[in-house]
Formats: sequence, structure tokens, C-alpha cells
Amino acid sequence: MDKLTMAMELGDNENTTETRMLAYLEDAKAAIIRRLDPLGVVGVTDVPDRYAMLQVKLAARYSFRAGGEGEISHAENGVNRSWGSVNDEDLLREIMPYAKVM
Amino acid sequence: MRSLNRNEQTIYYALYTGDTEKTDATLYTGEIVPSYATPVAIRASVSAARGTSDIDLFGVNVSYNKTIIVDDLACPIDEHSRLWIGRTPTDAYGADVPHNYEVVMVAKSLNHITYAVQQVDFALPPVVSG
Repeated sequence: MDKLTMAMELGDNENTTETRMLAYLEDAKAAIIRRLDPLGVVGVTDVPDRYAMLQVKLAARYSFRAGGEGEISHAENGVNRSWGSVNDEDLLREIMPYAKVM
Repeated sequence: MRSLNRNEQTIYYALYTGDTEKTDATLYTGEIVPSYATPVAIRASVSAARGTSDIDLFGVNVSYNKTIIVDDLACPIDEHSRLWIGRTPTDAYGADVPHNYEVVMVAKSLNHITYAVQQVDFALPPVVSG
């Protein structure tokens, strides 16, 4: 199953279009690459297979939070939601950055 | 403020377009019929049921409201609009379905518009089986 299909299943697919989910997947990919290769010296350009599901989970989470980006809590019309973090550090800390001897 | 996508659902509204005087063979009957535009879909945050129900001498007086929040300040819904919440303006056979909510009050703020809506009791048309 491809990442888009999985993200649409796991994410908020009632409110999310495939185009938007693709954008979230790209955003998640950029976040993972930034964490994997923070200085850009190793030259990582794609998400390794072992982090594929992490990318899907991040995209699903972005989709759930659409409209509340950057917030850790949101109250609206009697519905209150709160999130643990703004930057999804709990998921990103699973990534072990690559290193290279300079 | 943006509305959280996850809190939104699709509702339909029809704007009031004016009154038309009913005629019978070119003669005015004195009856005035309000006209409404074609229903339009919009995504909005609809609250759970709010309101009060009072037992009165002559029965139960129910004032049953929901509130709707729209983050688009250009939303044209006003006190004369009709709403379809939890139902669509046309059924599976293409027949018109009566609206089930009306706007009681509009509260516009800098960030969003809140609509207080009241349920109106129009029965759904009978389901044709077979």
C-alpha cells in the first residue's frame, strides 16, 4: 500500500483531499530529512524505508490539526482539543540522525 | 482564528431573495410567498444541542438551539436564511427536502461569525420503498 493511501486511511480523510494529504506527506518528508541530516552534509534526499510509517503518521497528524497549526489547544463551539506539542517532537525523536566525520 | 477542519461538517443554506405576490389568473390573491435561492453547501462547526426545555401549563415549551461558527467573515447567511443540518436539500430521488433549521441571531466578531439556530419542525417526506 502506498503512503498516500495509508495516510488517507489513518488521517482525517473526510476533511482532507488527496492533494492536501500529498502536501502533508511532503511536509513530513522535509521534517524527517531535517532531523536525519540536520546540517545537510550527508546528502539525504528521501525518507528511508524504516521511517516510511513515521512519515505517514506525521502526515495524518498534520491532517488532524488542520486549522489549528501552531496551537497546543483549541476551543471552539463547545469542543476543546489539546495537543502535547506544536512540533511533533514525540514522533521526531524516534529518528537517529546520520553523522559523518568531517 | 481559523476553524479546526476536524470540527467542521457540511451544512446547506438558502438565502432569502424576496417576496412574490401570488396571482390567480393575473389577479393578485393577497397571498405573499417568500422565495429562496438554491441551497448552497458550506462547511461549518456546528455545536451539539444547546438550549432549554420548560414544562408549561399548556405543555412543554422547547427552545432548542445549536450554534454554528463560520470563520469566513464574508459568509452571507443572515436571519432570513434557511438551513439544512444533518440532511440534504434534495433526497436520493431528486425531490426537495424541507429545511430543518432557521437562523435566530447572527453575532459577528473580528474573527468569526456565530449563528444561533433553531430547529423547525418540518417532517421529512415519506420514504418511497420499492
